[in-house]
Amino acid sequence: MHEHLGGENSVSYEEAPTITVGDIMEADIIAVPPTLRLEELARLMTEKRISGFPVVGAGRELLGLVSQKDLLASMLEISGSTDGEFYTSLYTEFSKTFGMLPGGTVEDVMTPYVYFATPDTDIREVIELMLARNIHRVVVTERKRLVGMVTTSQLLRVLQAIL
Amino acid sequence: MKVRDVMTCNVKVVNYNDPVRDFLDKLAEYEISGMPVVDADGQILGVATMTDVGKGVQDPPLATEADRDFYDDNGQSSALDSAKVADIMTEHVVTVCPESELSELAKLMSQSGIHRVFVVSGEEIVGVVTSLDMVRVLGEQLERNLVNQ
Repeated sequence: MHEHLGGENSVSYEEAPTITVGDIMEADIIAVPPTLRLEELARLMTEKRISGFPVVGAGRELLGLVSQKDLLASMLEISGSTDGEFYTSLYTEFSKTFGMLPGGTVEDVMTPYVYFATPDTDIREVIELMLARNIHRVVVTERKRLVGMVTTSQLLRVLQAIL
Repeated sequence: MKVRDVMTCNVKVVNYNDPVRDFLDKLAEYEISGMPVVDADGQILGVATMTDVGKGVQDPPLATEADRDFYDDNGQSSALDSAKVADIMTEHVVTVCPESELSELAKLMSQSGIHRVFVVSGEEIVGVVTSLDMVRVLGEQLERNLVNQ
């Protein structure tokens, strides 16, 4: 997402006060290694009540993202629409109650590519990305290493401040 | 700016007496993740989401001994066919008025982590505002501030 939004038609873009990702991001976020076993991942999702985690290497370089949906796809081989969303939400509950977890690790199910921003990205670019992709979280990297996350909650605090 | 300026009208609702299976079919049809639950008079009783269904699998009422075999031979759930929306819904529901200030709603949503707030006038549901609706407003506000520089 390095397209420069605002464009030449905008009024004095350089002079306008810009809020950057670094101003509002949450830096203290939980990431998982690709070697984490899937039952541990399911437990972490349930405990923390988080539906997806960034996946990072030993140097905290961003490798991908792993979500309930990824877990589910590997388990039930469900693709696309129909009841996929429903089964996704049930997955962690199933995993505890019925022991239906597949073997394997995060690396087997993660999505390698994720949309990301850098700390100096204008938050308007993040807003465009969230609306276009219908997502609530954007990962923040600096020199390919994970440094934070921007969520709708942080953006709502900005809205509250400027209204 | 008021809540009514950004809310989406024509909210899809589910009756508290509907089977959970029908509820899930509706979610799939409308491509949404939750709906307000109403009685026969249209009065809001709670909210039901896919997460609520998930909890219902683990705890009563869906986790009866008979339902340990959650899938039957056709891969369908018998528990979901017998349970009602009222069994799995969350009774605590956050609502706002159409005339509420948007800044108040922004505060409420960011503090509570709620992604969907229903707009109620009297007893009637007249709209819904999601966190992405609010993000869209922020984008518009930032653009406006820019133009006004």
